[in-house]
Amino acid sequence: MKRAALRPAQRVALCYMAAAALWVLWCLVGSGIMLDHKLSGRMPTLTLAFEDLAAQSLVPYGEEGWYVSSDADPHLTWQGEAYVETVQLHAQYRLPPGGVALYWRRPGQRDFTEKQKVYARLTAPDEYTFTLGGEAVAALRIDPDSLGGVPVRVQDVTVNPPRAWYLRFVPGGGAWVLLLFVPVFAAAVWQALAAALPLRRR
Amino acid sequence: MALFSGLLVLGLVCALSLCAAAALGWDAALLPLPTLAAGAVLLSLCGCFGVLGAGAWAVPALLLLGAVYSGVRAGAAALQKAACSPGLWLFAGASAFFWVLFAVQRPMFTQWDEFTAWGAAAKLVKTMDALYVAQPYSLTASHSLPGSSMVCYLFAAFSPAFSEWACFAAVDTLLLACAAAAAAIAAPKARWPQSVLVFGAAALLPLLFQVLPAGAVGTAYRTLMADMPMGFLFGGALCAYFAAPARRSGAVLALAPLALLALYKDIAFAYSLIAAFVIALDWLCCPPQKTKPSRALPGALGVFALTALPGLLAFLGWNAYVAAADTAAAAGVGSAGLGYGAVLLGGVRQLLGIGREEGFARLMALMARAFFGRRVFLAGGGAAAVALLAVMAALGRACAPKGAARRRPLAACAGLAVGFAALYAFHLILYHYNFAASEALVLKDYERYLGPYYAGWALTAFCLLGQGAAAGAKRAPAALAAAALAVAACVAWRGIPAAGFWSDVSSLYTVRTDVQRRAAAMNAVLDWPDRVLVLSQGDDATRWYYYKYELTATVVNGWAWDEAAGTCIDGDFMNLVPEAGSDMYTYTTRGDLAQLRAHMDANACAYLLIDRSDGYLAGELGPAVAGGLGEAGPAALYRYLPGQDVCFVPVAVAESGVATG
Repeated sequence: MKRAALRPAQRVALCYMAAAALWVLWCLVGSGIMLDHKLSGRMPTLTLAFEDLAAQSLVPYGEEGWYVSSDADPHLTWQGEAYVETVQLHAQYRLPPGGVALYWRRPGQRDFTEKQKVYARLTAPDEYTFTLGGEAVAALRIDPDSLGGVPVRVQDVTVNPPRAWYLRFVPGGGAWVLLLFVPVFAAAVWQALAAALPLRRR
Repeated sequence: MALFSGLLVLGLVCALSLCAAAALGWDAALLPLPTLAAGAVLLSLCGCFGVLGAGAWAVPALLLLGAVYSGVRAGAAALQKAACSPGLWLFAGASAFFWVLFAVQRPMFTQWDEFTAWGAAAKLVKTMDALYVAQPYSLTASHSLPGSSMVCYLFAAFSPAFSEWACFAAVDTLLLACAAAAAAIAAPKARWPQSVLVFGAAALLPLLFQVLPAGAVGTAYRTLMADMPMGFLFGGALCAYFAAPARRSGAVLALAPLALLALYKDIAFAYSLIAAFVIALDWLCCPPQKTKPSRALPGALGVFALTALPGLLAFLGWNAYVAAADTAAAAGVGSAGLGYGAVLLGGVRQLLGIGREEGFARLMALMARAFFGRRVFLAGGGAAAVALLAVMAALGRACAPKGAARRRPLAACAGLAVGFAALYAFHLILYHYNFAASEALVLKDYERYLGPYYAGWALTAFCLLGQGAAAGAKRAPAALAAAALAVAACVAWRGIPAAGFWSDVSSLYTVRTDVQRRAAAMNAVLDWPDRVLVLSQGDDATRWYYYKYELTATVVNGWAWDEAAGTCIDGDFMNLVPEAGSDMYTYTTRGDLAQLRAHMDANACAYLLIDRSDGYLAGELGPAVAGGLGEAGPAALYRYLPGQDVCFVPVAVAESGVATG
């Protein structure tokens, strides 16, 4: 028996439904991995003071707690193995910092690399949030400024801050690009290949 | 309000495209580009005649009238048929996505040329409702052509204020209109996959031709730089020609994009001539069967004249306007101040080996090596790109039905290759005559200058492949799908930067927001004619340029001390120090209170803005400042009172610290 070919609208709708299902699945799998790490203690919520971090190119500046970057590449490094989804830097600046970035190093990796880098977004006054999306790390390095000569007082660095569970299901900018435009592209590829390679059973 | 304005103009463009396509029986995806381009060119004309504000209302009104007229003429059945255009819907959807995304994220300008040229021009045009050439204020960008500003202005017609993010969205809409033109095909409902595949591949091209070091922030789709829009307009004009149902209508559809292309950047005039050449070559090599061979050459010459005309008129018209509006503007090239003709003539002579200088010969060798060695796209250098584009042309030929359609991809590829060779030689000449030797020898910005041509070429190649796949053999769409998937895979493999247009990277804007907040406090007392000297100790010109961009005033240049001559010469930003050669800062200018006052008197300054003070400034200027001047006080604006001992009186103080919200 010859199976009826799918209509274009059906193909597109199926691709969008598949994308939505994949997104939910992705989030559920991510939640499962996160829960597994949480329950096994590999994903602790840590609040690190300035003293817990190894500072480089940051020298004391005036009042207690204030430091100034002595060059354009200051950094704060934390050594320790953990599963990390989000990091928050709570810091006050007296001058704008330029770019605020975080690098991570995986277990067994010797150096930090530009390929494992994320820029901060300002989520509240004095709160810089880095989203890693779930990485097993052996060390973190935060560059609090990219200019040099910037006075900063680091209140703390929070690794894996508490986060409402449902926020995981809200797509970010990149996810929206994929969810909105990849399905129709995939449907077009499907249609083109189906027309060229008719593999229908008889 | 900027979001509302942008979406309203986008809706009008889509409505006119849909209704006009219904009346003409075309794919509606073909029309957003000519419509947008015609609107921007019309606004440029309004600007040249001093009625830009009226044009901002007239163009949307014309769009509405055109949509209503053609919609009524077409009728409901034709409208329903025309609405089945995946290219148009993808254009509308993707553009609206950019408008909403940027309205939420509010990205800001971060690149140098966005402050000194493209963004400054767009801001002044929106703020003053006038072109910037003749403006006496500091926010001038007289060397920038108006194309980019006019596209931004068109989408801001119903917004009272200027928004940087809206400029990004407006330019992205233009890029997507070019992608839509490439994706336009006959009978789009039945051949929707071809249209979607071409649109998808075209939309990925800005990412494919963005070569970044690891860890860098990607600027594709989040930039006001003119390079990629220029390449896309070049390719988009060719796509409008190739995708039109007939050659004559295609040539007409290409006119407005070619005019806008020539108004986008100086070098774009050369692009518009190359596009006219490619169209003429198509006219010559791929005539319909009924065309007599004896009529092919006159027809090709005629279409070359027709399609070269808008670019020529736009280029000459703009230069004539600049000459009339700004008598100080010099139409020269490079530091030697040679005219265009002299540069071209000298360059061609050297290319032919007549009186070739050693520097020119060295640059020739460098350019030859760069064609193979310098990466211009994610998968390799120029030679690899040309080879892949040739493969695409061969694929296009294989997919297309017999007859003229088979010759089209090859003729276009040959024409674009000849054009590329000419452009490459032209850039060699520019490097020799227009650049300092140190910049020329590293082929500064090579990728930025030549990448857009490859992008435009790739856009045209995808358009022709799509046309062939839509009209050709049953398996042709699979070849198109493979090509589109290859682009997608390449972008996914190597083209995802640490942060892209989809990322919220608000921490990168802290310097911008800091200066913006301070400038806003001072703008409360300033007006455009007010002349202000800005001092920011420890600055590397960044903050000075940011102030120049943000202040509603005329920022006056500082001075530099010429040790050899023992005199002051014109400078820009200053870090004042007591002695020459001081190691207080990287960039220093020797100066004391007397020199500062003399400079402000000579430049008729009404205000002094001290963004950041230090020990030297506090000691040197303190006695002349009402209330004194600290080493680390907040940024303040001082009214200058010439002839008085205490000559700086604070009139506005901006809070110190960093913008954190």
